[in-house]
Parts: sequence; C-alpha cells; structure tokens
Amino acid sequence: MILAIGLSLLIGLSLGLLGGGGSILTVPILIYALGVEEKAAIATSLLVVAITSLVAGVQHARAGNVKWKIALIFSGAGMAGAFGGGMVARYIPASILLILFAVIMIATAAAMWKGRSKAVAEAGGEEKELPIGKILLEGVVVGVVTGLVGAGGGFLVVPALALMGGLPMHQAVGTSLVVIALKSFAGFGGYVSHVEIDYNLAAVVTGSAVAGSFLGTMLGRRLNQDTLRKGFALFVLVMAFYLLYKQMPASTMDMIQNFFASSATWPFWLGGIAIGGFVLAFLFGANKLLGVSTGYMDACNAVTDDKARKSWRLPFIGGMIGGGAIATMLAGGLEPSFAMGMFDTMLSASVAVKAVVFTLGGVLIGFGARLAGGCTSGHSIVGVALLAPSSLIATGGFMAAGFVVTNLVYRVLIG
Amino acid sequence: MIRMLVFGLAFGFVLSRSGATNYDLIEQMFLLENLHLMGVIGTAIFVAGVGLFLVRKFNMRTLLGPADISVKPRHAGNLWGGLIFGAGWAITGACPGTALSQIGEGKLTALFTVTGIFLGTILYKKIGDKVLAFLSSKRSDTAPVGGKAAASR
Repeated sequence: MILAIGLSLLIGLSLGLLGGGGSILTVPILIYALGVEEKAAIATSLLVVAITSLVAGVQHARAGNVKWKIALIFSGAGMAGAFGGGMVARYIPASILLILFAVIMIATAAAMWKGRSKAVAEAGGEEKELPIGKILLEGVVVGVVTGLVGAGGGFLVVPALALMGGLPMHQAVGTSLVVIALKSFAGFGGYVSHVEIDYNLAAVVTGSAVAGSFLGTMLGRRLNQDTLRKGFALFVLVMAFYLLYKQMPASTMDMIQNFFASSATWPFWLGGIAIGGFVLAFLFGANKLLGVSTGYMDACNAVTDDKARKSWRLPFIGGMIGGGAIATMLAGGLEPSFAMGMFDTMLSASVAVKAVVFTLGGVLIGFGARLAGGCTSGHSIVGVALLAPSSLIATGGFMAAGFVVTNLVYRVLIG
Repeated sequence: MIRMLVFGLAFGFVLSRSGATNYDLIEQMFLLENLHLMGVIGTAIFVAGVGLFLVRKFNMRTLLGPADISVKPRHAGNLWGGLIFGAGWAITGACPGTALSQIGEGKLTALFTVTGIFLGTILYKKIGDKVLAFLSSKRSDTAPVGGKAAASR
C-alpha cells in the first residue's frame, strides 16, 4: 500500500510538473509494480486519468480556460469511441492491448521530446468556423484508442484543439482536460462491464496522484521545463520498451537469446551483413570510417604525445577486446588457453615456440599495415567498398601473400 | 569516449561471431578448403559498398554532420606493405582487429600477436619513411607520398 501511494505520488508529480503525460505511467506501474491484472490495470488507469483530469479541468474552468462548445462536441464523439473501445477490449487479448499501449507510449515520448510545435503554439487568437466533421472524426478515433488502452492521449487532443478549433494554447490545454476526463469516464464505463476492479486501490492511487499533481504544479515553476520534459520522455521510452520486452512470447525471447548466445559461428551472409552494417552504423553514429591498425600507432604515440592520448581509436580498440570477451562469455564461458586449433594439431609446438612465431607474425602485420596504409578493416572492407585503387592493390597484396605463405607452411613445409 | 568504447565492443563481438577470429577458418580460407570467411568478407564489402555509394550519391548526413569519407592515398607502400601484412596474417591467423577480439575470447596466443603488431608499428615509426622513400624511388609511375600522410588510417 505504501508502494502504491509512493508511486502514485510520482505519477501525480510528473503530471503537475509537466502539465500532462504523467498518466501514461499508470498502466505499467499498476501491472508491474502493484501486480494488477492487465485489463483491470487499464480500466483502473482510465478511472485515475478521468478523476485527475477532472480536478485539473475544474481549476482551468474557473480560470475561464475551457471552451465549452468545442469541448462538448469533441467529448461527445470521444465518449462514444471510448465506450465502444472499452467494450470491444473484452474480445482482444491483453498482450495485444499492451503492445498497442507501448506504441502510444513511444508516440507520447516522441511528442514530449519535440515539445509543442510552432504551428500549435501559435495557433488561435481568431474565432473561426468549427470544422465539426473533422472534430467528430478525430474525437471518435482518439476516443477508441483511449477506451482500448487506457491512455488519455493528451498529446493528440491538445494539438487537435489548437489547430482545428483555433484555440490559443492555455485554452487548448484547459479544454483538453475536460475532454480527456469525459472520454476516460466513458472508456471506464465500457470496461467495467467485463473487468473486476479493486476500488480501494483505485481510490488510493487517484488520491495520491491528485496530491502529487498539486505538489508538482508548485515545484514546476522552479525547474527547467525543457530538461524535465526531455528526461521524462526518455523515461517513458524506456518503460515502453520494457513493456514490449515483457510482452514478447517466450519462444521469440528464446530465439533472440539463442541467436546472441550460441557458440556457433554465424552463417557467412549474416557475419558479412553484420560487419558491413557495422561500417555504416559507425559512419552514421560516429562519422568515422572503420579502421583498426592506426589505433596501434596512436597507442604507441600516446606514451609521449598528448594528442594521441585523446584519439578516438584508443577506447575503440580497447572496446574490441571487451567485445570478444562478451561474445565468448555469452557462448558458454571464458576459458583462457594458448590453444590455436590447426596450429596445434599440425605443428604441435610449445608455448615458447608459439611466442616467437606469433610475435614475429605480429611484427609483419604491424609493419605491413603501416606501410600499406591500413589493414583488413580499413583497406579490404571499407577501401574496397569505396573501390579505392590503393585499397584494391593492398588487398591484392594481403590475399596473395596470405595464400602463398599458408600453402608454404601447411602444404610444403609439413605437407 | 564512451561512444567509441561501445562501438568497439560491438565490433569485437561481431568479429568473434562472424568467425573472423578463428585461426582455422583463416588458414582454411588461404588453403581454399573452407571459403566461409571469403563469403563474410565479400558480403561485408557488398553491404558497405552499397551503403557508402548511397551515402555519397545523396550526400547523406551522419549524426555528427556531413559524412566524412576519404579514400586512402595511392603509393608504392600499398603493394609491398600488403604483401608483408598478408604474410603476417597467414602466420598468426589474425589481423589487427581480430587479434584484439581474440584476446577477449581468451586466446592467449593473441597476446604475442598484439605485442608483435606493436613492435612492428614502432619499427615503422623508426624506418618507415626511409622504406617508403626507397620503394617510391624505384617506382616512378606512382607519386611518392610523405610517410605520415600515408599512414592516415
């Protein structure tokens, strides 16, 4: 019960701080923190949203921020849609409803991140003929969504009122609260016929949320709205992905886990797509063309040179060691050893011999890569992909010498 | 820094899973016994090639501004360096990237490989300019390029 009060205070706090959006967290909190069954959680959320919006809406109405005509038209359509949605939800599996809810959460997060668009912020001021048909249509659509998944959809209602109704911002917000309250009640009405609701819990959650929202409104004036909004948007996004993750069928989860954990080497096409895709992701995310060998040069120079110490290549090559470790650990455990496959079975060399052979081989790699101007990643993958003459020649050299030396070792020397 | 660390983790992981860190698969590729890695490299070049072509064709932007794509300079070192590198690749079954990933995988022999790569890099710092100048003087058809500029990536 204390958990329920604390979390509901947080819901209300975010509502008050941000002037909306907080209610989107009611459903996930009810399900995952308080253990309420999915459909009951959606219904309870509708009730919570309805009452919190009503409380806030009354304050706005006293201040004269509610345009009753458009509010009633929009609400009428919204209530019909929401009631229908709440009834129909009976026949839809809970997991589908929650996936839909997660989609709404992601859209809400995106809308919060962007803030109010200029067109919306500057709308209004002049009285205009209400496009009744459009308002009814949008009202029904938003209403159905509300009724199905239990989210108020303020991010849909406010712009609709501002753009279609020509309301200035403060009136759009005030009016939307009335609309949201009414259609949430209607959605609850649709649900209540087929879902058991714990009214004690609903009362506690609602009460705490309302209290929290007053607190939030007072605090909100002292905090940076922009940072707050973006932080909250990120939080909602994380919750949305958690919800989706929870809704994934066990078979899909197993498939994904096996895919990343399997010790089996990926089929060649998948490995190729992963490496080629990495090149593109690296360019897009870091604006760098992939290349490893220069990192060794920067690491050498870092001993004496401050500039080299700041090179992006150092964390990159450090990360690569960790990447290999993660891959092996996921595949069943890290077992360090000096074993080297064919080298052992064909040549049966001691560790000391390996130390000499592999160090000398490494010297050739290090010197050759610098002289050629790059290695397999920079020349053979990226350079060849760009059809660079230097890279085509270097790669020809890599392959030719690799072919000759390997055949010399395995076919001639020990053949 | 953290961005690069994460990209490094991802690349090390992908190299491991694609089989590029597998000594046997490298040797078998050169012995023409198992062309798995040929397929990996070919597919990777194709995917990266199509992507980079589109990026250049439509002047696509990255998260950090216009895409910074440059081609490595052509010089006499490309071929000779390539041949030396190829020999080392065949001997160790590793290249600079996969050797790092191998260490993470617990293949301790890669510690020698990485030590060697560092030694080879230091050797190049000492004598690379002279070697490149020597190679360039013998080949008049390619323009000589100053050592440091050639080692751009």
